[in-house]
Amino acid sequence: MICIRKILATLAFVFPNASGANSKAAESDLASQFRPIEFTSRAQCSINSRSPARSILIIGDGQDAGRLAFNLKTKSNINVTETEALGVYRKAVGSVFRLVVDRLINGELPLISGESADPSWKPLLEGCERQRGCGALEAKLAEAWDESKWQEAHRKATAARIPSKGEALLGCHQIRQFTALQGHLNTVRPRYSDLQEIAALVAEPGQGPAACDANSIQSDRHFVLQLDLVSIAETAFEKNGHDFWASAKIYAAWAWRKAPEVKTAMGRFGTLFPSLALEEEILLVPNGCRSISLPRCELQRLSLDALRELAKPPGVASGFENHLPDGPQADLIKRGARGVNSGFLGTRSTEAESWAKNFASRFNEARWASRNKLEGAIRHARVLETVSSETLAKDIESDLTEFDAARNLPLASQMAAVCLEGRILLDPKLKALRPNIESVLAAGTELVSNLNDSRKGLQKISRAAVDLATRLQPLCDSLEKSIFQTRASDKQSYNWNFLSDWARERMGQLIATDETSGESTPPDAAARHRGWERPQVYLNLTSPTQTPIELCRSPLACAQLTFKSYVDIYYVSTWAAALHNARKIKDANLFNPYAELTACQIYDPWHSTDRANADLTQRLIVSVLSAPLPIPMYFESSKVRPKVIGLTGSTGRNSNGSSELRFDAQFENEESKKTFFADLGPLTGAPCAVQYSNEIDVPFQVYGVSGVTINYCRDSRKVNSDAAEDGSTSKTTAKYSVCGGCTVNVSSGFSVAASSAPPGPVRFAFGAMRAFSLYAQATKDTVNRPLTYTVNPSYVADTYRENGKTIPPACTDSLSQGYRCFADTCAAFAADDFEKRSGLRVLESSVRYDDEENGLPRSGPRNGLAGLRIDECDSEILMRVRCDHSSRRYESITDFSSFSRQCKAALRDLKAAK
Amino acid sequence: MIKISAHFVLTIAMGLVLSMADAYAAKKKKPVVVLKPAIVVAPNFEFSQAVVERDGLLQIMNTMTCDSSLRSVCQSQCRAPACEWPEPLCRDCLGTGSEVMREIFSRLSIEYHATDSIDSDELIRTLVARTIKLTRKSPYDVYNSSTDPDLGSHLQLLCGSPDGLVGVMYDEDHRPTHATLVACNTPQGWRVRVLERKIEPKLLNP
Repeated sequence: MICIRKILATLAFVFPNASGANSKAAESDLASQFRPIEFTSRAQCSINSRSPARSILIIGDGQDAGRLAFNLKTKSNINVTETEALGVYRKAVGSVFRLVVDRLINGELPLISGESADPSWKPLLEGCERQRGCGALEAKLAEAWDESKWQEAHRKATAARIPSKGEALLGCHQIRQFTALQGHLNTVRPRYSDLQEIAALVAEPGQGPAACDANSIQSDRHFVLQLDLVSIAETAFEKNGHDFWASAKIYAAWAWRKAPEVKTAMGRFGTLFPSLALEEEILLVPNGCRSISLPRCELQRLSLDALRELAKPPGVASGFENHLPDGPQADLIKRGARGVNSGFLGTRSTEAESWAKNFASRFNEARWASRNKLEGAIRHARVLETVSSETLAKDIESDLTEFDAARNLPLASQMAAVCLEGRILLDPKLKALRPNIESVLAAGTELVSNLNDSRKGLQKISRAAVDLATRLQPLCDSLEKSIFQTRASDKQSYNWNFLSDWARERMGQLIATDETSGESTPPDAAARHRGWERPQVYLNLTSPTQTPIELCRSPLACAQLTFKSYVDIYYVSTWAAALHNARKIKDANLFNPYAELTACQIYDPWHSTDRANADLTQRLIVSVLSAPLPIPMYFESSKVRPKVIGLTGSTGRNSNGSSELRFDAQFENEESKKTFFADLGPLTGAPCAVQYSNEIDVPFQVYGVSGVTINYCRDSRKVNSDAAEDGSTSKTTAKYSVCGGCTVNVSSGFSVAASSAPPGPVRFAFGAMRAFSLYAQATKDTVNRPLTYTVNPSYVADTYRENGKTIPPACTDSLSQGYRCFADTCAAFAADDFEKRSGLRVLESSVRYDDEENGLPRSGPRNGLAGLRIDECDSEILMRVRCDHSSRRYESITDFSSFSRQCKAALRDLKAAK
Repeated sequence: MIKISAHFVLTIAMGLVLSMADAYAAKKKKPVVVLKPAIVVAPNFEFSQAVVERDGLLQIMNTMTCDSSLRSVCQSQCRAPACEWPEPLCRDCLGTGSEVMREIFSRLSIEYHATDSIDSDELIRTLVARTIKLTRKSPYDVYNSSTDPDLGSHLQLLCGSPDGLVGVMYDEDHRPTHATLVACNTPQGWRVRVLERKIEPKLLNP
């Protein structure tokens, strides 16, 4: 009974659509296996970031599988090749996700994560997440999996018997090359050429991407798979989609090791591949702007999204190179507004394998660097069991006396370095020089190590570093008054030669300048690590079987090692979710930098829209108020969005009870935008106007017509400010703009009329015209206003086939709105609405507009009567529609109707379907 | 295929000397502890590990044969005087993500040292049921290229021969947690040692 209830509950989550479009999708043609492609502007991309992804990419690295094959061949004489192992691995990865996602979208596996899940899963997930063991969770997963098998078999049998029943559909393909099918990553609006390319890819045999489990002729070392949820219950998915993906990740990790179906897909490697660390080898990426995990302004989420920087070409700084990084939250503000959907990650017609290879190489490099830091710090934690910070501080002090620091340049220099490093790590006065290390450590160390004793070691070293820096502070204070206090005339008693790399990175130019004035040549890295040549070694690593290894030449070297370990643990904690935490399949918003910019309130996608609306209202009010004045004068003031100048962190616990560091935006209020405009009328025989604003780029327009044709604008701008294609942005220093202009052409009649219009209602009418005109101009902002274009590959393929292997240019508009090809997009909308509600294919569709009789071209909303023809009835099906082509808004005013009996019968079915 | 034929002889004296020497060097503070009767035990068994293809599946298989003196132990563990069993799942071991595997393949003899010996009962129980067994030909070694000194060099340092195995404990999720023993097939017979993570930094001139 419980089981049946569970089935019903999960089935309630997803219903496959029973539309004609989707029954068409049930056919096995390639076009129907892709989601409609969404092209979006920056603002829309930002809005979509909170919506769950319907199409994802799996970026995989088969290095370990290849290495396994190499080992089997060379060490065990097994007849196996790397190519074979890589191919099987790629197929197995595709298979595990296809199996899991297929069962999830068909409601056969229950959601197990988030609010939508049964609460009984929560303690099991928490226990596993907090590394208290995953046995109970795995047992329950196995149970759910077994149940799902039976349901899947039942579904498949039903679908075979009753094809109209329609399953939720899933597409899985290998991306060999980024093409127009991923065109939304490269452009915000589909072009005619994109439609042609999509058509050729999906309609021509052998041109498009191969299925996930197809053999490939290329190497499978790096691969990109695309998973499309083609037919799902959209409304339910919008609500539960993030839980869906979180559940899919958990199931996939389990199924990789335990599911018999996956074992079968692994072929000969069925008992060996489960030992591969799948979580380390793949990364899930939303195919576009929507997200797999809900974006949050939290350290580890930001650190995952920062992986985007590693997808850029080699050599582009990523933030992962810094020894003491400011963290992804600081990089977010530093990078600011940037391009999106502009191919900024090099996805324009690129070989997917080489793209993935570059990303994987940079990712692995960062991972290795971080692991080395972690390993070094854990090792050093053991050293500290012998040398306490108290002993170290005492030994440092005695060394200064014993080896006469005042006359010993290397010793004094290393002491100066230790003092400065200690200060950076501890001194509250130097907060500006360092990130919030303590909060990051509190939130990150839980994730970095699989082992409890290692974690304790990390905590130990953190305490030791802080303790040591505290103990050394009085000594450093006194040295600053003695050895380190040098007059310009004195010979310098120290230099910065022994400063560690991380401190050098922090001090930047300050140290570089000082170093040039030093007398000795800077030592190389190894010598710097060793420090001053103390006559006797201070600390050795001994082992019964090996010769001793020198750990610290001097107590100062040990102090630097402690500080370095502390900095390394901070680094590792900062990037823990991205580079460590091997227990979870990772996902990153690679293609949408606005996911985190929006989550952290740095970017508001609605700001431009809200501002345009507010400006319109204000201008209308001002028009009323200024109507009685002798000359048209307007004053406008609108609030400018406060600028985010920083993100402050606070430590808390997430829904699974793990530590996290959340960030809140710190805003700086900007001066409100003020614009003064006066139409001076015909001063020198031509009508003139002036405008002053404390903001740049304010449109200069008189009465919304082309009245001012010769004008001049000047602002205080020094540098242009906008997102560049490469994602970079430059800042402007502009503070104001001044414009003036006079009309000289025929259309100046409007302006002349305005300036000479008598005060009163006529003047208001001109003011209102100006307000609406400026509003219309503001709505043309294709960057900061939400805009979406959708291309359905199935419709593109149909058009291509029906028109002799070409797309008629007239179809561009309707196909770009996600509709079938019709010359009038409003008619295409009506046809689409009918198809979705009836499941029947519309053959013809046209609209007769109410205002067609007067013959004048019109902009703005138009009402009309749509007439559709279908194969199933002999007459037209009618529907009243309202369509605004300029703002691309299409809506039905009435329901479908018809005069024909046959068509009425079809509509009865339609109503039932509705 | 690695084949470690092991004929244990009762080398009481040698065992005592070796264990005392090792333990004294490693645990200077409590050298007395090593004088346990366990060190005299020398199991007579054969152990081998190999990757084989069976029923279309590549598997890491372990084989163990016990002689008469150990037959009862083998009987209780394998339900036969000889047994063959596949290696358990070693989660995340094929890859570079496991810090434990990384440490074992690249730094075993630096991070661990061999201490006490282990009795045969315990050894067989540990080998059969509780450990992942790594040899120098283990497919899990993704850290060393063919020219690097591999696990064999660590085994040589820890128990006297490159031919042998490292037993690695795992947790309930089948992830390796730490190396627990080494067993080497030396000319004198098997040497089995418990591993301890015990490397003492030494202050020389404080």
